[in-house]
Amino acid sequence: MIFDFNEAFPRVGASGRYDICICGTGPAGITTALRLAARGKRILLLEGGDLSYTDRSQDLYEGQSIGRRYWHVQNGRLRFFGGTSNHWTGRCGVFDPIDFEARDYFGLPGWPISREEVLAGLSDAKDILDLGEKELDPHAIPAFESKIFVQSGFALSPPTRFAEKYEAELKSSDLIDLFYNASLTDIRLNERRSSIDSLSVRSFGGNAVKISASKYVLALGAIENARLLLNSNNQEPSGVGNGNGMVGRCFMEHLNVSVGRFLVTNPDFWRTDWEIVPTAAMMRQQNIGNGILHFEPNGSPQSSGRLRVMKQFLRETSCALPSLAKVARAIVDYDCPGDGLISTLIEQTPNLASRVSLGSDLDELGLRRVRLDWEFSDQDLRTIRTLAMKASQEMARVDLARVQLAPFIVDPKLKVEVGGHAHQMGTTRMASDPKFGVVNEDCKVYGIDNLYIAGSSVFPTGGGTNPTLTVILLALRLANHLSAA
Amino acid sequence: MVIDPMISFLVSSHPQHITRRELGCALGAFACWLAFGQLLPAVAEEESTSEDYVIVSGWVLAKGDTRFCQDVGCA
Repeated sequence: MIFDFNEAFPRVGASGRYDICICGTGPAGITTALRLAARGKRILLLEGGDLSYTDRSQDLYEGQSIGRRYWHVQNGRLRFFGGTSNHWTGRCGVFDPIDFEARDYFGLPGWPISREEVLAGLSDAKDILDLGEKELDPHAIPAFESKIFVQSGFALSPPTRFAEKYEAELKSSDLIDLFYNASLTDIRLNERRSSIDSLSVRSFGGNAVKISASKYVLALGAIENARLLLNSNNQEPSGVGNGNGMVGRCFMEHLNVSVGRFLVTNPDFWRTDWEIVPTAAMMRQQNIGNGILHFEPNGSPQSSGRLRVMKQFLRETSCALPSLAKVARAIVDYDCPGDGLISTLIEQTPNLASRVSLGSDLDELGLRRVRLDWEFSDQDLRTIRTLAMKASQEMARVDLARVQLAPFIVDPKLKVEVGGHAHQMGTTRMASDPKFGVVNEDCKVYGIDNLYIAGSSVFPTGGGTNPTLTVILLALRLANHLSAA
Repeated sequence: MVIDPMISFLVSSHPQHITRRELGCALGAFACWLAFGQLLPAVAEEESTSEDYVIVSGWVLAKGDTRFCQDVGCA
C-alpha cells in the first residue's frame, strides 16, 4: 500500500511490523522490495520525495563540486517516487568478462564476485526493464575487420519508469508499505555499534519517527548512500560503516569525451551509426580500461536562424562539389553530410582521491550537503587517449573513415576535456577485504550486521557500459540473499 | 593592375552598398587567405608518427595516405 508520511506517519512507527526497511524507490529499491515481497517478506519502503517532482525535495540534492567540473550533482538524479528512472534514457548493457577480472593496473581490487553470479538473474532483469531479445554481448562487424575492436551490444528499454510501471502493484501489495515524503535523516546503532537499532525519519512538515525493522537496505543512489552514512555520525564520528575511511571514496563516472570527428571514406558502411568497443585482448595488452566509441555520421549538417534554408542550400551545394567543400574546409571547421562526430563512454578507474564527502552547509532537514571531488588518474587519461588513437588507426587501416582527433588527445600536455554521463558509481564499493571497500560480497556493510546497500554505489569498477541493468541484477541478487537468510 | 579595374567596376556597379576602401580590404584579406590559409594545410608537417600511421593536423592517417590532406584540406 502507498501512504503519504505527512498524513499517516504514526503508522510507520509501529515497530516489529517489518522484516526489511528499504530506503529509496528508484530502480534498485523497488526491484529489491518487489522481489522480497514475492518471497513473503514484509517490507517498509521509504521515499524522501513526493509522488511527483518538487523543487523543495530536489533542493536536498544540491551540493558542491570541488574537483573536476561535474554538472550532475543535483540534476543528474531525481528525488521523488521512481527516483532517477524518471529521466533515464533506457540504454542497457551487460558488463564484459574482463570487467570482472583482476586488473593490476587499476591499483585497487575489482569485483569479488563472478560475472556468472551477477548475470544469474538476467532473464528477470530484462523483464523488469522491458527489454527485448536483442543481443547484449559485443559482436563482430562483418565489414569492419578488426582484431582490436568489435561492435558493442546493448538494448534499449522503452525506458521503464519504475513509479509508473509498478505503482499499481505497490498499491495493492499487502506486504509492502510505501511511505513517500519520508526522508531518512539518521541511522541509529545499538550500544555495541554492531547493528542498526532504528532509523530516524522525518518530513518537511516536521513529522518525525524512529522506525525499526530486522534488516535495512540503502538504495538512495551513489552520492546519497554515502552522504547518509557520513551524516549519521552521532555515535561514530566518521559515519556509519566507515571504520576504514572508505565511505564516499572511489566515486566513478563514465567519462564522456568528444575525442574528435571523422570523414567518411566508405559511404556504404556509414548508412548508420556504429559503436565499437575494445576487445579484452587489446585492453590487456594496452593496460587500459573499457569503453564505447560512438561514430555517428551527420545525416545533414544543422543550421538555424532565419537564413536556415539558404544556409542549408549553400552547404549542401558546396558539399556536393568536392573542390568547393575543400575550400570551405580549409577556411572553417566545415561539416558535410557524411562527416561525423565521435562520442564516448569510457570506464573510469577506481580512485581513492575521487570522493564524496560532506560540505559545511546544511539542507532543509539539517543534513550536511554533499561535497564532490571528482578526480581522474593518469590511467584514465591513458585509456581515453589509447582508445581514441587505436580506433582512429583502425578506421584508416580498413579505409572506412579518417579521424581528426581533438588536440588534447594528440598532445599530452593539454588538459583533456571530460564530462560525465550521470552514471554515479562506487562510493560504497564491494570488496572481499574491508580495507578496500564498504560492503562485502553480499552487499552487507562491513561491521554492521543488518545494513545492506543496493545500487551502483557498490560497483568496485564501472565497466564499459551503462549501469542500470547491472543495478537491477545486483538488486535481484541482494533480494535473493535477504530472503534466504 | 588587374585588381584595380575590378574594384572600380564593382564599386561603380554597387555604389550604394560598398565603398572602394571596403572592397579593397575584402580583396586584400582574400589574397592573404590564398597565400597563407590555403597553402598552410598543404605544407602541414607530420606531428607525430608511429610504425604505420602518421598524424597530420590531428588527422590520423595510414602511411602513404597523406594525399587525403590534399583532397580535403586537413583543416
